[in-house]
Amino acid sequence: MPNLDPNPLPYGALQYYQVHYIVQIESEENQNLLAKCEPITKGHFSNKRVVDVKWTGADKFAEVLQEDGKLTEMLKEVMLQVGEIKIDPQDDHIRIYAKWGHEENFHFNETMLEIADRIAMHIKNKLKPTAKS
Amino acid sequence: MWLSFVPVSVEHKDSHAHDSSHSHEEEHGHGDIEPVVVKMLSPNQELAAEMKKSGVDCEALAPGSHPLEHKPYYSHVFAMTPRLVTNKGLIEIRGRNIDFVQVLQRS
Repeated sequence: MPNLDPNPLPYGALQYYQVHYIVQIESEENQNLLAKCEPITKGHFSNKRVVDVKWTGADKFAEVLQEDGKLTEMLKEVMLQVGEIKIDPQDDHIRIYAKWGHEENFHFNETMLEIADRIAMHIKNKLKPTAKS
Repeated sequence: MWLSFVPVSVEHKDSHAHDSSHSHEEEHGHGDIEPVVVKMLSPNQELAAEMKKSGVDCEALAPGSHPLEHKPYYSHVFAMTPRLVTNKGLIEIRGRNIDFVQVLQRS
């Protein structure tokens, strides 16, 4: 039987995890890919469902993602679980991630991988002509 | 709690598997003890194992082995981006548009 501390420290590592899907691509236009996806929902509690998603962001990239019907359908499946999806570009790579999740819910999500892969496809299509090899 | 201590495989060595003589057990003196081997996996190794089960070609990298792990994890352009996070390892993905998957723990 492990000895559990009745007064745990209020700081240190928390039981929340986040998975970042990383696209390694270096371009001068990386910063134009900043975007965020939020769900549009109807109903409350157990009747809550995602009816659409809304992409907001810089440049025209958010419009490209909004127009992808297959991506929208996949997003509708997972947005209630993951909350929101952010595309966070840096100088030599771009990160795609959702909200923090408790370790009890921390499992591999195949749909989320497919979503990140499809977003990465759009990123590469947009940046390929200008990307540094 | 599964991320901290993940029992992946438990091996029981049965001392009665062979119908050995009584004298053999006496020689070793541990005839009734069943050793239990527990393998501990880091979060990225556990996630990589789940991905492989789903058919994703991937490999968990050793902690601190890639330059991405030594760079900032956020651009801090978005509001409420955390400052204190712990890197829990990278997974290299092959044959997809995604190059890496990184697991972070909030601090």
